[in-house]
Amino acid sequence: MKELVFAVVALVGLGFSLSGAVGVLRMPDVYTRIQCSSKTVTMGALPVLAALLIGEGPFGQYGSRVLLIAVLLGVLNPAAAHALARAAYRTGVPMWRGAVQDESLPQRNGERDGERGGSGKPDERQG
Amino acid sequence: MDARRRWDRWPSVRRETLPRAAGPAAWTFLAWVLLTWEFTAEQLLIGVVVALASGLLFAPLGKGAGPWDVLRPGRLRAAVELAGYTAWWIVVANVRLARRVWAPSRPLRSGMVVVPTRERDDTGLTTVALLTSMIVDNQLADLDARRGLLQYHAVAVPDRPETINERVERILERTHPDDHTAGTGDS
Repeated sequence: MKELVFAVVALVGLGFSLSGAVGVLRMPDVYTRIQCSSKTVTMGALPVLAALLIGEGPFGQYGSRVLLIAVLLGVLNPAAAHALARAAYRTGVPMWRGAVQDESLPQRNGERDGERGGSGKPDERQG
Repeated sequence: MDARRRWDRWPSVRRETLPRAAGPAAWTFLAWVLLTWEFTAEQLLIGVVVALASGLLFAPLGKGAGPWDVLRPGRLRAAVELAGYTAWWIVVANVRLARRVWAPSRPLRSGMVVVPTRERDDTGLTTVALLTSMIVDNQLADLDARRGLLQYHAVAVPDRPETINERVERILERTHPDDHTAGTGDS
């Protein structure tokens, strides 16, 4: 029974990892690809870590490291995805044509034109 | 002479540096214990030394929250509620995105939205940004802390974009009802 649960949970993780990889190929622009590459992979890794917990038990070297890795994934993945998305937006990487909205923060003092991509007009940045 | 000067500065070090170092040192010690999972005197002693060094290194950045801050009244309940809410939406949003990946004919309403935030201090903004970005539908792209604005990329732009961070902020407010807009950066 334990092996069955282990296998099912690990397969769920594998499924999400696979859909994340396919999503990187299928999504239409860099921003949606960032979402697929970073966070769907988190959802892929967490069930695999849970499977490890089920297989090896929660109290032990594996359990403690699983907890540490889960926390690090939870903190570092959104932070890394934020850095990618921010860099892409500020350097003017366009969204796809079907994007429904393009709002951007108002320019701050001392910020040059072109340093920030959109101006809030939906059509301006769509490539 | 230097030793004398250092001794004279000791009260201010004790008053400012040590409380600032306590939080990061405690987290580092916990991470060390989880990483080694060996409860021998040598490992624990090395852990204490590494934790103290890391705490002192992080002290100039300001006072950081320690593990005991989570245990304060109201915070533990809010932390559990936030964890549950985030975990639920991580699963829901991931299933939705996976369905869209495997069926590209489904509509994709992605876009950039700007939403207001009531959080002003660094801890509150970081918590809101991390938790809302862990949900695959949303990714924080930029922020304007002074004006209280967050810019998100959303895979499915909601009819009311404010809903992206509204719930998380409402739960967070309960953890610090009086000082969440104080701008101290050290709560």
